[in-house]
Amino acid sequence: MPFSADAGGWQLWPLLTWLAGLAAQGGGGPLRFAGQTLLYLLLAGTAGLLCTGPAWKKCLDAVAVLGFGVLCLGAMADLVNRVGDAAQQCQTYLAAFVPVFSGVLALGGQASGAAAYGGLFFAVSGFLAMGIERVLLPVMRIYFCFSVSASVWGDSAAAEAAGLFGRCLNWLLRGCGALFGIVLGLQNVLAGLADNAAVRMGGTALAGAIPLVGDAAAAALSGAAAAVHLLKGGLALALVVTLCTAFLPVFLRCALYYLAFSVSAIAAAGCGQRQCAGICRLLAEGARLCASILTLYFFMVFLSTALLLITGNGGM
Amino acid sequence: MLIIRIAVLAVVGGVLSLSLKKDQPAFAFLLSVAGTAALLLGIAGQMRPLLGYLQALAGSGQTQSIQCLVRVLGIALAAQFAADTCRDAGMQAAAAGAELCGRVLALAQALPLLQTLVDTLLSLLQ
Repeated sequence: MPFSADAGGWQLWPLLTWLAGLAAQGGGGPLRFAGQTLLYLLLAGTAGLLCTGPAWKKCLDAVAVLGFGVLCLGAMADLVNRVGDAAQQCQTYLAAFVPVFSGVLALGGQASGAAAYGGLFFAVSGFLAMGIERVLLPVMRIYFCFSVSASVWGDSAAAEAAGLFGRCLNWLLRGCGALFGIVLGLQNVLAGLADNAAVRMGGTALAGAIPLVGDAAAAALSGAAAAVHLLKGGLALALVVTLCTAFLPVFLRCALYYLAFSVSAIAAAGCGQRQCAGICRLLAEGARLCASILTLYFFMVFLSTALLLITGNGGM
Repeated sequence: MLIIRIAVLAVVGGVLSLSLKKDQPAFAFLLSVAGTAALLLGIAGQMRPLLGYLQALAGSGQTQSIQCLVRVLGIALAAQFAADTCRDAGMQAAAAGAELCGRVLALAQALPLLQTLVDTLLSLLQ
């Protein structure tokens, strides 16, 4: 990053330049791919027009869909690898970040929050990263292979089966997202309430038990907690910026691939390439599912950190 | 204009072929083949820049897919022309043979592409 994690020192132009750099990282590949697919479809459509016999047109369509399948599968293999790398990169960063953040939380009087963050959250994020690498991404690879094979085969039943596979993955991801959101959100709220009560009790006990200086001690406790709260905010901001650096280019890539496939589906239908249009529709759904996987992981990490930041206020 | 010259050539060739067909069917057949070849030669000059453009595009990426498609198109057009010429001469069996040869050659051209697709599928699944 060209700037520090201290938000007070940020300026607009370096921030915009950084965001543009991230966007360029994610956008170049899909745009080139879109150009290649549109060119290929145009060529296939022209070849179909030049051949007048229906038998030869079928032969050309079969060759065109083979070539299109090769073109698309290569791009999707690259996308799936990048999604896996982004999740792994984030998990590696969290392995270093979580102990530090938990320590700061404990220092600020959020012992329950620190335990929740260092224990449950880290375990859940590790479980999700492993689930993405070992389960979701292999399933996505199977989905891509099945979609291309079904479209090359040309049977409508196989294409319907591939579509159903995609819808099942969609429902599975929605269920996972809802489950993790409920569990982590609830855990963070309860930990925050317990910590707030504990710090308030500590302040009250100090003011009541120690004469004369008890009030000053209670005020000093609140002041120290506020300072630690600021440090906590800076660390959380650093996490968010790191997450954005890891996820934004890949998320943008997924979105651009989705757009590229959607436009290619229209172009393929216009050129009379029905099977190529089927590949485009199914792989557009696959790119959307990859973006959903990234969003699930990103918001699980972001939500947990943000809730701890918001609900734990050190007794203020 | 080129299209008008091509149309005139096609009409003249057709009329001459019809007039010779009754008395000299062999010469009528040769005339129709020569007329078709002349039409294709006339359009060959227009194909050169198009083929150059396709080669430049193939050089930009996905060479195998585009080259395979262009080769299969060439085979399809040649086989179609041969089959139609044989049908003009009343040789249905030769026409079917020409089409079969064309399909086999097109399949042979598509096999490397199929192999690449299978390899990509296997590498994605492993």
